[in-house]
Amino acid sequence: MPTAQVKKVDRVLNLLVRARKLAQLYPTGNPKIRETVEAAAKAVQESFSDSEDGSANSGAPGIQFRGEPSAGQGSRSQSETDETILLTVSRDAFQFEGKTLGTRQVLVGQYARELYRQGVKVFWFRRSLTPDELEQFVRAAALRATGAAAERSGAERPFVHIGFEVIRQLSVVEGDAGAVPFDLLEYLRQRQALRRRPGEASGKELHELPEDQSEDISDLLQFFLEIAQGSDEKRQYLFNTLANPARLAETFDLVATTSGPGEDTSDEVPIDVLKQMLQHIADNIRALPEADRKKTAQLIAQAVLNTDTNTRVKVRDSALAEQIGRDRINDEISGALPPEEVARLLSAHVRLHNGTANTVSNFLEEFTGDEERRTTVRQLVIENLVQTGDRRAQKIAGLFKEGPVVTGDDFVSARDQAPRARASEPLSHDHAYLAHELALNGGEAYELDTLVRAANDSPDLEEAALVALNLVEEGDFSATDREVAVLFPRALQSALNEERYDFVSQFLEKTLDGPERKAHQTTLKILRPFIAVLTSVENIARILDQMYSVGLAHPTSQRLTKLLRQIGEPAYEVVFDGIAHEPDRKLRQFLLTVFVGFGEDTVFFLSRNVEQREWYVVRNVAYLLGQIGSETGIDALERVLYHADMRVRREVLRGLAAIGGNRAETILLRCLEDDHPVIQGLAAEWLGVMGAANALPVLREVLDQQHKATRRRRPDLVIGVVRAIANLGTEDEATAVRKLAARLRRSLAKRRDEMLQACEEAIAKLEVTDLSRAGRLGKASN
Amino acid sequence: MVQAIQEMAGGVKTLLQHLTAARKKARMYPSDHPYVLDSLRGFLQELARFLHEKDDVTLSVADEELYFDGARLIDEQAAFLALVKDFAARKVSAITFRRGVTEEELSKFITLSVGKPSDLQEAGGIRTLLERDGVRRIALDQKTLVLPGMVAAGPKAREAVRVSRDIYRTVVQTVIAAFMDATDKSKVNVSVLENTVGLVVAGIARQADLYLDLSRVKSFHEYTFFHSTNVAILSLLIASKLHFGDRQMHRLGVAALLHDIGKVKTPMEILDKPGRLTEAEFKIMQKHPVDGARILAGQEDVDGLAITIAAQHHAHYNMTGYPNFQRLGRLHFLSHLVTIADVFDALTSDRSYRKALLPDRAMQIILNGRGTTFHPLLTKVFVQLSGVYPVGSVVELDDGAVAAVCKPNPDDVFRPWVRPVSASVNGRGGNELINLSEKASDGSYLRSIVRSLDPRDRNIEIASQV
Repeated sequence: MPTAQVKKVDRVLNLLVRARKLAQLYPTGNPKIRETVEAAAKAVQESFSDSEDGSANSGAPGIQFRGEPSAGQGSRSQSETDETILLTVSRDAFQFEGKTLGTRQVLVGQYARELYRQGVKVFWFRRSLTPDELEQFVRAAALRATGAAAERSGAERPFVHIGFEVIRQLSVVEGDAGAVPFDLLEYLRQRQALRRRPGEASGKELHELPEDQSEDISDLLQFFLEIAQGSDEKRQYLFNTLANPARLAETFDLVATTSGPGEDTSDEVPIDVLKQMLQHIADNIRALPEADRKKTAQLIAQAVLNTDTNTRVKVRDSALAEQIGRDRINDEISGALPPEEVARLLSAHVRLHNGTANTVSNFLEEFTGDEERRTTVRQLVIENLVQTGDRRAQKIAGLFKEGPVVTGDDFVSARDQAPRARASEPLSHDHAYLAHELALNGGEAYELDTLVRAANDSPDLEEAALVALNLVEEGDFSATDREVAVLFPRALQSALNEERYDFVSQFLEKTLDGPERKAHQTTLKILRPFIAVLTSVENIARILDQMYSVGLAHPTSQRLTKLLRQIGEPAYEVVFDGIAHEPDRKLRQFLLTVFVGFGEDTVFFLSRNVEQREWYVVRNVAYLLGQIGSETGIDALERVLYHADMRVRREVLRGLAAIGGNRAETILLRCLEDDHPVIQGLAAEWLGVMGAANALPVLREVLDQQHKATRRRRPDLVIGVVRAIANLGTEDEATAVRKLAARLRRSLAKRRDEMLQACEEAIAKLEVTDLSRAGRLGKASN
Repeated sequence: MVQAIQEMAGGVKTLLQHLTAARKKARMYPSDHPYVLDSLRGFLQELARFLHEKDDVTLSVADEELYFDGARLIDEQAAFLALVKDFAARKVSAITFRRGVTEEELSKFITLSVGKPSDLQEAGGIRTLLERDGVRRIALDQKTLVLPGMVAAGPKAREAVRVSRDIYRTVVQTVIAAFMDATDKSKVNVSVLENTVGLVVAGIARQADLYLDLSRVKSFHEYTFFHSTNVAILSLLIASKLHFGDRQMHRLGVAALLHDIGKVKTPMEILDKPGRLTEAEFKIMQKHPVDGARILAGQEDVDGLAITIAAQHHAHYNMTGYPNFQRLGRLHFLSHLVTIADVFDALTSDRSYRKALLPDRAMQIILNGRGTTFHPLLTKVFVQLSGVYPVGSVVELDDGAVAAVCKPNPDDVFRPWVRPVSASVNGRGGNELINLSEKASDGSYLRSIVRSLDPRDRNIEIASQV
C-alpha cells in the first residue's frame, strides 16, 4: 500500500475542500481561490509522480489507469495522459486504494457527503488536469451544493466533463480497444487467485477456504448480491464487462467451467449459474433507456457468439431457450443472435423446454427484426424441427409453414390485439398451457395469469368493504346503515390481522376525505362503525410491532406512521403511554421517534398531558414538543417552565431552543434572569445553539457584567454565555472573551478551569468561523 | 315469490297422477263414467296451468325414463314406471298436449291408450286411430327428444349421472332455502350453501362435462333458483378451467349461488311481468344488486366475495351497468366471471317477457359484448369452455343432417361433437357421437356445420338432466 500516495491524495482532498469553501465566499477570479486551486492541481500531479513507480498500479478496485493493456503488466507507455486516480465517494468519506479518507476530518467528510447527495459516487483525476478545469469543477460543485443553480437552469452537469461521474447515469458503451477497466472477470479472477494462493498473508481468510471451484459460484452470486444491495462499484464492474463482448465471453467461459460442490461435475451447476448470471444481467439492464438496452443486448449476444462451443450451447440451448416468452430482456438478447443461432435456440426451446407454437410465433413476430430476417429464421426453425425426428416438434414445424400460428376464428386469434409488454414473472404451468389452448398472445396470457393469481389471493372482505364504500359514496348505502357497521369493522380487522396496513390507510383516507363526510359534516358518524377496531390497543400495538421489526427508516414504517396519524388520538395515547412506561430504553427511544413522526397534529394532545403529576411524563412532553418543533407547543412548554423538577426544566429549555422563533427566544432571554444559575447558563447556551442573533447584545451585556463581577460571578451563566457567543459572536466578542479569559487566568474563582476552557473553545471557534462569516456578510451586503 | 313457486312445483307430479288414474279407471269403467271423468278433469285442470304460458307440453319417454318438456323427471320415475312401460309397448315415445285440448279429445286418447298393443297395431297404430277420431290437440311422436351429452354407458357412468343429478337438486333446494331465509329473516344459512358447493366443486373436478350439461336445466316457474344454480355451475366450470384454488372455488360457488339474492326484495309482479318493464319498474329491478349486497353485508359469516359479486354482477366490464362503480375504478375479476355465466344462462332461459334464445345466439351476444359488457379474456375462456355452438344447440351439417351438439371441442370451438337427429343424406346417422373435427385423407373435414337451427321449428326437444 503506497502510504505516501494516500497521504498526497488526502492533501488534494483537503485543498479541494478549502477551495470549495473559498469558492462559496468569493467571486470567480479571486486570487485566494486561484492560489488554493493551483496548490490542489500541483498536489494532484505529485500524487501521480508517486504512482509512477508502479506501486499504486495494483489493479485493485479503486484505482484505474486508463490507456494501459492491463494492470501491472509491462512498462507504461510514454503517453500517459489517460492515467487516472479514481476515488469513490461514500456517504461520509472518500475511498482511495482501500483506505478511507475523511472520517476524522470533519470538513472532508462533509464534502464527501455533499458530493454523495448530489449523486456523485466516483470521480477521478487525470494527469492532464489543469488548474482551470479544477477550478471549474470546484465552483460547479459548490454552486450545486448551495443553490443547485446549474440543475435548476437545466444546465448539463459539469462533472461529466472534468472527471466526475454520476454512477446512476452510467450506461454501457463499447469500450476502446485495449482499454480494459476493472470488471467482473477481473474480480472473479482475483478472488480465485487469492483463494488458491497458499500462504498469502493478506488473504488469510480467503486462503483458508477450500480450494473448491464451487467457491467461484459464491463469488459470482456474492457479486450480484452486492449489486442488489446497492453497490455502485460492483455495478460499474458489471457494466465494464458488458461493454466488452470479449471479456463477457471470457466470463461466460469461466462460469461455464465451474463445477458443483464435492464430486458434482455435471453440467447442471454451471447451467444453473449461467441462467442466474443472465437473469441478474437482465435485471441490471432492464431500467436502461430502450436504445441503450437494445445495444447492450446486442453486445451480450455478440459475447455469446465469442464463447467456446460448449459454453455457447449451455447459454443458448439451456439458459436463453428456456426463458423464451418469459422475459423481454432475455428475448431481446436471443433475438440479437444471428439467424442460424436464433433458429437453434428456438428449436431447443421447443424440444427441450416444451415450448409451444405460440411462444415461438410470438417471439418471431416481436424479436427477430424485419420481415426478411423473420422469414429466414422461421424457415431455419422449420428445417431444424423437421430434422429432429420428434413428432411434436415436427407438428409445430407444420404449423409454422402457414405463417404466424393462430387457432380458431378471428375472435380467438392471437393477431387481433397488439402484443403487450411481458411481465418478468413466468406464467404458471397451468396458465402457460391455457394460453396455448386459447391462442392468447403473450400480453393476454400474462394478463390472465396475473388476474387469476390476484383473484386467487384477493382479500375479499377488504374488497367488499371498498365496494360498500363505493355504494355509500354513490348514495346506495348510507354510512349509518347497520350493514356498513357490520362489514367495515370486519374488513378492517381482517386487514390488520393480515398486516395489510396499506388497505387500512387507504380505506381511512377514502372514508375521511370522501364526499360522504362532507354530506354528513361529521367524521364521527362515518368512523363510528369501525372506531372500536382502530382504537383497540391490541391493533395499535400490532402496528407498532411491525414498525419496530422493519425499522423506522423502512418505507413500511413511513406508511404505518401515516396510518397511526390517521387513527389520531387513540394511537397517540398508546404510544405516549408506552413512552412513559416502557422499561426498555431502546424501545422507549423507538416510541419517542415514532411519536415525533406524528408531527404537529399531536401538539394539542401533548398540551393536555403537560400537567401530569409524574415528572418523567412531563419531561417526555417537553422533549416531544421540542422535537416536533411547532410554535403552537410553546404555550405548553411555558406552563411547565418553572416545574419543580430540574430535569423537566432542562428539557423545556431544550424544547424551546428546538422550536426556535421569536417567542422561544424571548422566553429563553427571560430565563437569563432565572433564580437558578443552571437554568440561566442553559438558557444562554441554547440561545447560542438556536442561532438567536438578536440575543447577542443581551449576551454580550451579560458577558461584560460577568467580566467585571468578581465575587458575584456565576460560573454556569459565564459558561453558557461564552458558549452562546462562540456560536453567535464576531471578532468583537472574541476580544471580549479573550479579555475575560485573561482575567480568569489571574483569578482563583470557583470552577475557574471550566470557565477558562469554555472561553478557549469559544475563541478558537470564533477565529475559525470569522472568515466564513465575513464572506457571508460580504455576500449579503452585495 | 318462493311460496308461489313452490305451489307450482308439484304440478307435473299431479298431472301424471291424474293421467295414471284416468288410464287405470278407463280400463274398468266406460269413458263417460264419473270416476274416469273426474280424473280427466283433474288432468285438464292441471294441464291448463302449464298451457297458460306455453302453446303445448310434451311428455316423452327415452331410455325407459320419463321427460316432461325435455326435462328428465327424477322423483316420478319409480311411481310412473307402469306408464313408461305402457307407452313403450304401444310404441309411443312422445305425447304432445296442445293448448285448447278438450275433455272429449282427452277421453278418446285415454281410451285408445289403454287398448291392447296388438289390437292397436292391427288397427294401424294409435296415431292413425287418433287422427281418425279427429283428435287434433293431442299429437303422438311429433317431437323428437334428443339426449345430448348423456352418453351413460355402463353402470359407473349411469351412477355418475345419477349422483350429479342428485347434487344439482340438492343445490337447487339449498338455494330455495337461502332465498326463503333471506325473505323471512334477512339472513342466509351460509354453512349449508358451503357444503353443497363443496359437492359441486368435487363433482366438477371429477366430471366437468356432466355439470356443463346440467347447467342447461331450466325452470320457468322456479327460474331464479335454477338460474342461481346454473350460474354457480357455469362460474365454477370457468374458474376450474382457469385453475383457481380450491378455497377460492368454494367461495366463488357460494357467491354465485347468492348473486341474485337481492331479488327477494323485488316485487313478484316486476320479476314476472310479461313484456317490457316501465322506467320506474326497471329502476326497482336495478336495485337488486344493492339489495343483495345489503343482505349479505349485514351478516357476519358471509364471505366478502359474495357481497362483491352480488353488488357487481350487473356493473359491466366498461362500468356502464348498474350500480355505478366508476368511483372505485375496477370490478373484481370474479364479478366479471359471474356476469358472463349470469347473462348466458338468462339469455338461454324462457322468461316472462321473451322466449329463450338459442345457445349459439346467446354465445354470439356474449361475444359481441366482449370488451364492453364482458371481460374480453374471460369471454375467450368461456367460448373455449362451451364452444361457439354450446351443448344443446341444434345444427344443420353440410351433408343435410340435423344434429344436436353434445360436447364442446376444446381444440376447435367451431367443431363440437354432435349427435344426429335425423338420418343424414349419405346414410350416416343414428345415435353415435360425431366429432366434427375429423378429417378425410385429403385433409378436408368430413362434416361441417352449415348453420344453427331452432329446435322448436324442427319439433326437436333437447333433453335435460333434471
